[in-house]
Amino acid sequence: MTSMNQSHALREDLAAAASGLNWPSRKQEAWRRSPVSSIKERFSLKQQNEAAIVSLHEHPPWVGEAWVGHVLKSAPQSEEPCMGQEGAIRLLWLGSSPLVVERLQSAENSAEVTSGGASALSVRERPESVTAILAKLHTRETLRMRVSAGCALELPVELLVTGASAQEQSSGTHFVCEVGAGACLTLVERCVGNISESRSMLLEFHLGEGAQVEHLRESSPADGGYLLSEVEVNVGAGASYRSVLFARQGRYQRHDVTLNLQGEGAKADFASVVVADSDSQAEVQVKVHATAPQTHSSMCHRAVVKDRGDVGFTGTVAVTGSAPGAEAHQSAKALLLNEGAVAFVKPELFIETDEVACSHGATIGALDAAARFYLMSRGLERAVAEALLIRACLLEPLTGRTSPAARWLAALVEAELGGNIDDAVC
Amino acid sequence: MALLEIDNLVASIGETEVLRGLSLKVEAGEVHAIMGPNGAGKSTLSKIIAGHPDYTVKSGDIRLGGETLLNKSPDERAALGVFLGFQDPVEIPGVNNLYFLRTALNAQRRRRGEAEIDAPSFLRLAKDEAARVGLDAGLIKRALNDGFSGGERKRNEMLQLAVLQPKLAILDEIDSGLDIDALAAVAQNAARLRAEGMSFLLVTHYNRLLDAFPPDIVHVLVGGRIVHSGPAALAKELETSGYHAWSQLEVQSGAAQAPSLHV
Ligand SMILES: Nc1ncnc2c1ncn2[C@@H]1O[C@H](COP(=O)(O)OP(=O)(O)OP(=O)(O)O)[C@@H](O)[C@H]1O
Ligand SMILES: [Mg+2]
Repeated sequence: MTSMNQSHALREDLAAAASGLNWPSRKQEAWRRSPVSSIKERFSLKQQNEAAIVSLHEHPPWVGEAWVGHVLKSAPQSEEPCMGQEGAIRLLWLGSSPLVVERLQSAENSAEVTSGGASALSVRERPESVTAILAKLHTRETLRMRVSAGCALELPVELLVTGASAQEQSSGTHFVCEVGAGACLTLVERCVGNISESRSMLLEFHLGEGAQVEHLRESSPADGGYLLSEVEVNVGAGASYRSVLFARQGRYQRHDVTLNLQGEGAKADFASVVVADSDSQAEVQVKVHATAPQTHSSMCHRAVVKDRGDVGFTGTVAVTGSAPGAEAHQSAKALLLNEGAVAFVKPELFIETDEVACSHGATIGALDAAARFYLMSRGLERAVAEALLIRACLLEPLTGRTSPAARWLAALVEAELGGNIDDAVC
Repeated sequence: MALLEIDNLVASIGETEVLRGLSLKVEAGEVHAIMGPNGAGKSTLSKIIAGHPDYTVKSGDIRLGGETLLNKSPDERAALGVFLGFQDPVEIPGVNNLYFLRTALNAQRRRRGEAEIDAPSFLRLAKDEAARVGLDAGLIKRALNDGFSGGERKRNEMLQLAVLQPKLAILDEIDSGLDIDALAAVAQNAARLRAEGMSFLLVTHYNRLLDAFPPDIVHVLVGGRIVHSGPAALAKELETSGYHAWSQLEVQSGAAQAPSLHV
């Protein structure tokens, strides 16, 4: 059989397997919060046999190319170093094949990968700064990453999750990230499917006192792909967790995010930016639990839905009696581009103390016709005018920021909108 | 051939017939003022010329330079040389003022087969023109009209007009919300653009703007029709006489076919 036939057959198998998994139907999802526990069980997250490797200073620094395991050819081409920075570290997760760590030095390196038996590898960015850890991992095993106290990683770490294996029709990934006191980390998580698949992710973050994490997430399953993702974040005193999720396409994706503000002055900012068309369904559920004094949280959700797309957002804020002085803000907006597109937005507040400042706002509607006419009356074609308005809506969570995160999101949104927006300088 | 020719235009929005046989001719380089009571159809006329999709033209024609505009989209009309300065310019957060304006200018130029303007030249042009209408350089870099005051929005309309250089500028109550200095700046800029050959259709309720930027002809629009036209002095007369006489006439002559007329 030719490899093309093989991959075709594989694709068909996977699609069949995924559809047999009891994913919530469109009708069920209309009720929201549809049960997915049976699916989670099949993914068997949180395995006992943790295969995590943590290891730093003892090993010699690995400079230039460093790989473990399998052939990278089956991985998506590592086109661009993540966030445009050479030297970024990439953790590649290839279905059930071993995890591979690659330091992006130059594109040529990735061509001559050999399969090897090494089971662990450590990469050090600089002698004095610990960088990333990695392991030979199989699906259903846990990857643990530790950033030691006080260590500020200048470069983003990329976690790339892709593909699915022939042996297992569905795969689960468990990633634990421990960030020590005062440490800084930018993690770019990319869940991008290159074949039909169903996949489940469980990510845990533990932020020590004063730690800072920026978690940028691109979730783009293949057409017809299924993705179930859970993120749980424990934020210590004075620590800050900021996350932006960009989700697009796939048959069904669900993101459950729990933000536990456990230490005094803990801070969490969450933004989800979702694009859905054809038959895509996406569901984002965020819960903030504030249990310590003087915490701050914000949630910002933006969705653009067309065709028969369906996007839901539930933002829950729970402030216990032990968390006076909490501030919690929430804003959700969805643009429906045609009849038949569906959006759902629901804010929930459970407040058990008097001393809080909470706000929320939600709107669902069509593109602003007056704004479109205004833009067109100045000479912009309809498609360009609409693309500008959609872009404005999607980028709103990071408006005014010039951070790498804002540029990262802008690039993804512009790619999504296609050629309608040229050299943007917004 | 006149620059703008409107023949017997009948147009409606929903069930309401707003324009009821309106005719108008504007020669290149001329300034026309349109005055009339609230609800007479002045903004409607402006938006219909610019191609607003909510209005239906039932009969009649609008031509620019001899070419009908009726089957053209708003962006095509813009490229042909129509500019509408809105009575209430919308706020568009997340769309950068300058970026939008350059994209618009280049879109028009591409359509006309002209070369695009490069970023540095554009920036110079925009800054010069912004200074002329007294718009703060910081303001023009913000999102389009986002958080702008009423007067700032109107100045921003003038900035766009000066940068886009249309053949016909329709300014719908550009003078409302402007302070005295801004009004003078707007009049001065309009006079300069006119000297370069631009035509104007000014919709206004007051003489302030017309004193500073005198029109060639003043039209009285009542009940969806131009009921009277005259020289610049007509605007002054209207200030004392009001529209009462015209409205009465309109009721008498138009009552049968126009029961929904506002009086
Ligand atoms: N979207 C709409 N639906 C229904 N009627 C409308 C709509 N837009 C305008 N009209 C009606 O059309 C008529 C003309 O309105 P238009 O805005 O053109 O008046 P105008 O002459 O510009 O008045 P003003 O001096 O107050 O600005 C009014 O009676 C108005 O109520
Ligand atoms: Mg008006």
